[in-house]
Amino acid sequence: MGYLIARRILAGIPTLLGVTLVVFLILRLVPGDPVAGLLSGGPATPELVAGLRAQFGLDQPLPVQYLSFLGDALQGDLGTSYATGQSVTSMISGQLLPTVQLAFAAALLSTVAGIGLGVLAAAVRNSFTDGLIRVFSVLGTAMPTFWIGLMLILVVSFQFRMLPATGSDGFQRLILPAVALAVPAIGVMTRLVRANVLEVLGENFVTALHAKGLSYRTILLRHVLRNAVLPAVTVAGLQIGGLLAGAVVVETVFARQGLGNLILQAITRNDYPVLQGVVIVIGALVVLVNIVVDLVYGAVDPRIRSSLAGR
Amino acid sequence: MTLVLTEPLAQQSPRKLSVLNTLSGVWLAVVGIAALTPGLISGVDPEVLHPERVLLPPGEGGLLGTDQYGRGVYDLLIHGARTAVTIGVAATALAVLVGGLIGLLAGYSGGLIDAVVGRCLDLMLSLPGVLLALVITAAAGASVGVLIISVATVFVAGFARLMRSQVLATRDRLYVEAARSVGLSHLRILTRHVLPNAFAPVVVLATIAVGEAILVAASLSFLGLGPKLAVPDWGQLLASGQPYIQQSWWVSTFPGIALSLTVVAVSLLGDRLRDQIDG
Repeated sequence: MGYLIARRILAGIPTLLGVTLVVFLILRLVPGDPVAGLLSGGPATPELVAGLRAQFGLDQPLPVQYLSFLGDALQGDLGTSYATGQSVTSMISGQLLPTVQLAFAAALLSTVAGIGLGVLAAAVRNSFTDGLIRVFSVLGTAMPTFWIGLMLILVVSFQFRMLPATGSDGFQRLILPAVALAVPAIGVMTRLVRANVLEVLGENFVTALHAKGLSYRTILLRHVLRNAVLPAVTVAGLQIGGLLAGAVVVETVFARQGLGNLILQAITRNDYPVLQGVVIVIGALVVLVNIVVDLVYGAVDPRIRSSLAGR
Repeated sequence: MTLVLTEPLAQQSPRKLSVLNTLSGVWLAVVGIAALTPGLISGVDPEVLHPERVLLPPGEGGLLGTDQYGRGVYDLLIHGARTAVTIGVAATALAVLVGGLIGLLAGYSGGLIDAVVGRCLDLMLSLPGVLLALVITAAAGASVGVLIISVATVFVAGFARLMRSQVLATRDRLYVEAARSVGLSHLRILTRHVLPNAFAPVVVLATIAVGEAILVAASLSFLGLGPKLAVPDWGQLLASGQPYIQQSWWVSTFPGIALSLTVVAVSLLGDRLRDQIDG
């Protein structure tokens, strides 16, 4: 297992490098000059522009810029904000926790609700309840999360006055954003679990258990669930990346603190180092989560362990 | 955003299925007409502001109420459909084209090229696509063209991977070998013998991707990265209603419904296409 962990972590390094390179290149190669953007308010003399470019290291060749960025990043320094002069690392670390909390709350919610709804739908398949759950799961994946958030605020906060509409402190303020963010993920998870349960229900060992005289309920909960849910848990882990990115959007609806807030500010101010830093940190989190998911899955299911080790 | 191909929604009784399909077909037709000739179903010019009709509720202010500039939400939705449809369809087409080409070349050439491309695709797929789109749009400035490109990048890797797997599945088939042995050129083998097999699954994925692309574009618009046009697109309209939502719920509610219904209708269409191709 130790070998496997080391191997998997080593395999994550090129991915991480790739993430930094992609983000770096997009921001440098896409037309649009950060310095011109910064100076749009006042008179931009050529000397001023050149001075700023030199100050930010933008006058260096691209490979040099990238390597020096990478060298700093390895030491935990993601550069300095053009707009505030603060260290990007400290700006991000101040906003990281609320976003991660939101994404994980949504991941947990979507896993629990998705498994529950999926198993229920499969257990009573082709009934009215099944139809209802399926309609919900399709609608859920089609609704924009920011709209779900607004509708939740409208109904839960304004109509029933049950939960606060905005802000980021405390568990109460986490509920609505987490639900809004989780709805599409619940839809995906429900469909997946339902399909898995139905597939496992058709396998031979289920027929054997029937023949042994076990009740449908026991078979479903004791034997089928375990086999059907494991792959779903992997998907739940893989969804965390999407949820982290989605959190950025949902946060703005609820005026929550977090990386979303930071990224929007960076966009309006043309603050490239911050923009770059946030995306790289989220990318790194995603890579990390994927590694953990792989390892957990390997620890739970011996079949996967051997296939991972062979890779 | 992840594209998940699970089982189709409706394996219920054929009658229920056809009702659902008809409804979604009608909805898509309406959206299509709105995108092509908005004047046909909304005679009002949405660029004209009416300060005396600001934020009127549905009924009093027309079918779906009016926004904070006194424009009818119904008219704005009809005239905003074009932006949603254009970006959704064009971004998907671009992703199919670029992704398909990458997947085709990687799968067909195999070896080192394939290995390198494969790693790059894994990388692209591990990054949250919406963030990439956000960065590109933020850097290049929001316009319809930029949005098409940035939304397309979200889906390129998905199509490349699909195409690659399809090509790998056909590359070593006997008929391809036969085509090669009679001396056909690579180009001819690819276009005549390899591509046709990949066509069906790509079309199915593309249908689903159109819906997803519309959602991604709407998210960017909602964040203020939409194209700056006289008539807001659905995401912008939704965002513009946010400050007034407590008193005037209709401005934000209806664009969300329009978006959701369009995405559902498109994905049902995709399900149906897959059924027909599989069946």
